[in-house]
Amino acid sequence: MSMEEDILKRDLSKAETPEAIQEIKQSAEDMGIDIEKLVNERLAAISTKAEVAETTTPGQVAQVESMGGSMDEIEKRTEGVDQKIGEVKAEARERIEKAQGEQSPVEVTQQKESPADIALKQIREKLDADKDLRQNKVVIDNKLVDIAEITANPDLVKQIDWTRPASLKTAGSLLESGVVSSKEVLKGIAKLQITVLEDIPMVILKRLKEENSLDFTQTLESMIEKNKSGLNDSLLAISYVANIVRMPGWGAATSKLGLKDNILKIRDKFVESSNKDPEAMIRTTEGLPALFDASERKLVEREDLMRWLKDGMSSEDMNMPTFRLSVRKILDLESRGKISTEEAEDIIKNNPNYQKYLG
Amino acid sequence: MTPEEQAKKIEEIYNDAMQKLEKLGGERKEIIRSYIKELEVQKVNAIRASLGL
Repeated sequence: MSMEEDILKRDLSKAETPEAIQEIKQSAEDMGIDIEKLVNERLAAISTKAEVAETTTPGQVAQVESMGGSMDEIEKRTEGVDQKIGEVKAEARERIEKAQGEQSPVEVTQQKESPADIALKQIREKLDADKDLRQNKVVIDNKLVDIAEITANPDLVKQIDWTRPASLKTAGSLLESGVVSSKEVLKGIAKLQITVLEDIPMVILKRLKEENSLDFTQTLESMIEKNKSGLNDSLLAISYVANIVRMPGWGAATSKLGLKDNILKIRDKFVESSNKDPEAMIRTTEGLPALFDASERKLVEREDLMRWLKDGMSSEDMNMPTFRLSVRKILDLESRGKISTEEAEDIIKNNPNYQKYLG
Repeated sequence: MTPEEQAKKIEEIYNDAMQKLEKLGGERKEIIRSYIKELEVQKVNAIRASLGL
């Protein structure tokens, strides 16, 4: 055994913190070079980085929609940057693979017994021996355990706290590397509250779509069940699914996934809730742009939507602050061409609350 | 090319790509941010108009 390996081993046995383990791991990797592993890791990291860079988060979409903007406009404005991101990714892959191709077969053989492998094995053994779940969680959350280590140690996967958004981000990489299955990720998603749904990385959604393994109805309905206000969740669910449908290249996949059927079920849930509490529907002003957007995409019948609005605005139980807020929202929709002036007048003026409002 | 040289070259390409992607990601965020600002201004104007201000 070389002197370097001796030093590494000694340091490793003394390492108490995740930071110290990571430092030693880095030293070990520096000593021995596994080109294939390095290439795979770097390409995966570039891919993830590109994915993140070109993603419009559901949060951003929701913010734009609440202001009356559109996803189409976002796509139009970011088209140039997205193209550059794709070019950087493709160019890096090409250059890295070219550099990898320059390796000789003799060198590949030499790598198999590198000190890095020995040190990594020791690190895995150390983690294996650690029965303290908390410590392992810290290790995972701080991303001190790389994909290769998790692959070698399935127990670490079991210890992932799926209810944490940070873990889902790790899950995106794990899913991409084939370490965890879509089913495991879905289980994690089902445990989440709707408020953190936006944190699910697009890489997960894309993979689930590719595998055709995401049951939107089940997933979204389970989230709806978890929240006290089914109505709010229905609106968010429609908005969320509408966002997915609008992602580039996803339109054609919607019929395959049965999204329209699923959204119709969610719509039924929405109707049920709004009938029970028409005022709540109007109060949820954030949901209106998403609903109009959904109606433009034929996910919700426009006639239904207009009827819900009219009925909701006419509710006897509606208080004046809520009515004023709703009026503003209707006028806002009218100014953006979502509804006509005649329709706006019909909703506002031809209902009993308008006189109270004037009085 | 030795494995060390290969690794060095791969790292250089990787760092270069990550730097570019970071910059482009920032540009994209800025584009969306500026779009949201535009929308906010439009919205405020619409509300003012509807209230006759």
